[in-house]
Amino acid sequence: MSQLPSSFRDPAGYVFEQDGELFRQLLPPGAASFERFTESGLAQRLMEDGKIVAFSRHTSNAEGFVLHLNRLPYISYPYEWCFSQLRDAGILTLKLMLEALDKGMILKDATAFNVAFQRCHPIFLDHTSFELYQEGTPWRAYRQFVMHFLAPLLLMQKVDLRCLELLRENVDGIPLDFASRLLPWHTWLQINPLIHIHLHALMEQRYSLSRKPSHKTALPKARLLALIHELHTLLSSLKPPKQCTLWADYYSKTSYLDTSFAFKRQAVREFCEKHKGRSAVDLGANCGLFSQIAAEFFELVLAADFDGRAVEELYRIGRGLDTNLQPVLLDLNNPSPDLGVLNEERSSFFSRTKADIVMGLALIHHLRITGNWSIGQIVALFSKLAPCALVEFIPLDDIQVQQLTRGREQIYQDWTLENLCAAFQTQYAFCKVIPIPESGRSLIELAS
Amino acid sequence: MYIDAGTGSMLLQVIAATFFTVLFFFRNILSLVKGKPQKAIQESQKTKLPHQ
Repeated sequence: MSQLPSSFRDPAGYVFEQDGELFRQLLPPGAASFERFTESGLAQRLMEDGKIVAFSRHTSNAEGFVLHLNRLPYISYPYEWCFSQLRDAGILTLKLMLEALDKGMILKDATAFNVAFQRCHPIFLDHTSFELYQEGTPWRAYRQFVMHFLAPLLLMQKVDLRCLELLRENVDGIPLDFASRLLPWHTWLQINPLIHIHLHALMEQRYSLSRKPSHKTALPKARLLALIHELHTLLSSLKPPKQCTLWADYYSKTSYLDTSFAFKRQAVREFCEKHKGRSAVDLGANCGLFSQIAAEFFELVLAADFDGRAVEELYRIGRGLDTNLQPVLLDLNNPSPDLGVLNEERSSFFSRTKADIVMGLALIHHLRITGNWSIGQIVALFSKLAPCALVEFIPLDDIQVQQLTRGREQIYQDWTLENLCAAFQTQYAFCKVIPIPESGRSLIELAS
Repeated sequence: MYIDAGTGSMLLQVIAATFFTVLFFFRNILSLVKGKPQKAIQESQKTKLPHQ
């Protein structure tokens, strides 16, 4: 039995893994709340609606009783989501809060890490977050909700989409005084940022050094509902900013002829069909043209890109078509590392991600030329993720590559199809080159 | 996860909740005056909003 490193804060229980299965140990401090959670029918209803991870009672032991949990195929973290994913996770948290209040319960925490994505649908992970509500008590997790959801969303909307990266540096949420300083001055004139961020930060500062005994605060349920409802309306009204990025309309500027592009699509389809299985990773997925093909053959396709707008588009497509896509915001030059307490709380992208196949289409020349990766590092990237891979090689004389090298061609003389294949063959037993007609480019199919 | 919110945040929450309760009340009055039982009212009925 091994307790998950991320599950240590809650006195009501913890999650552990045994024989590849996930379990939740419930401890005496959370017993009464959990009884209400199940007996009120709330747990059943939320499971039926797909809002929380399904569980069943497994066994009892000296500590309490044990739940068996459904394991999600892949856990991505809030700093790997796009704007709309973070917003939808926040909306889910508020919906659960309203449903819990209706049954005499309340959410005792509101961290974004309590939500995960099952393909393109948010789902709540923490069954011990529900506790008994006592009339008149405020929502203890209000500040946490603002730090994890509202502050990053407002920063992304009003400053820059890349403010999401702040969540990686601040895994316990963006500090309110920091958010207040970063937001533009005109947000002091807008009701919601003024109250939830600016005044909130000032109040926090005002009372943080106070040595007086803490004030008793009472908040009638009706007013609490008004607050939650207002937060819900606010989050629902937030739209992703129309920030122009380099990659969001990449395919509209593609240099392929129609016939070459059709050939490439067919080659990707054949590769996916040949290796079809449980999971695939599409690195540099952009707007998911090829991820959607993979989604026809795999139960889960992680479509990863470093561009926030592209991931936003992936999420929109994934939700609209209800496909097997799961978008992930990922900068390969700086992938998510191990983070949190003892660097164990949140695991790195590579320790979480193993798939049946990995694709890197129109990607690796960027790693070599823009990122200055060595060919050996490119090979390691693919071999770490999956035993089979499909990679696109674009030569130095290609017009798009020439834009990247701009007079530095001498540095990249090792960038040849022969060198790349030789390097891949050190890790993959099967290596087949598939030239793409009338393009000078090639696909390389690899298998261990 | 477990969090113990600070005093300042709790007080702000009470102020904010009171403010939004009043705001809801006036929004609904306004929509009644305009003769349009709008979404706000329908939603407030669903979630048993404060003034009801």
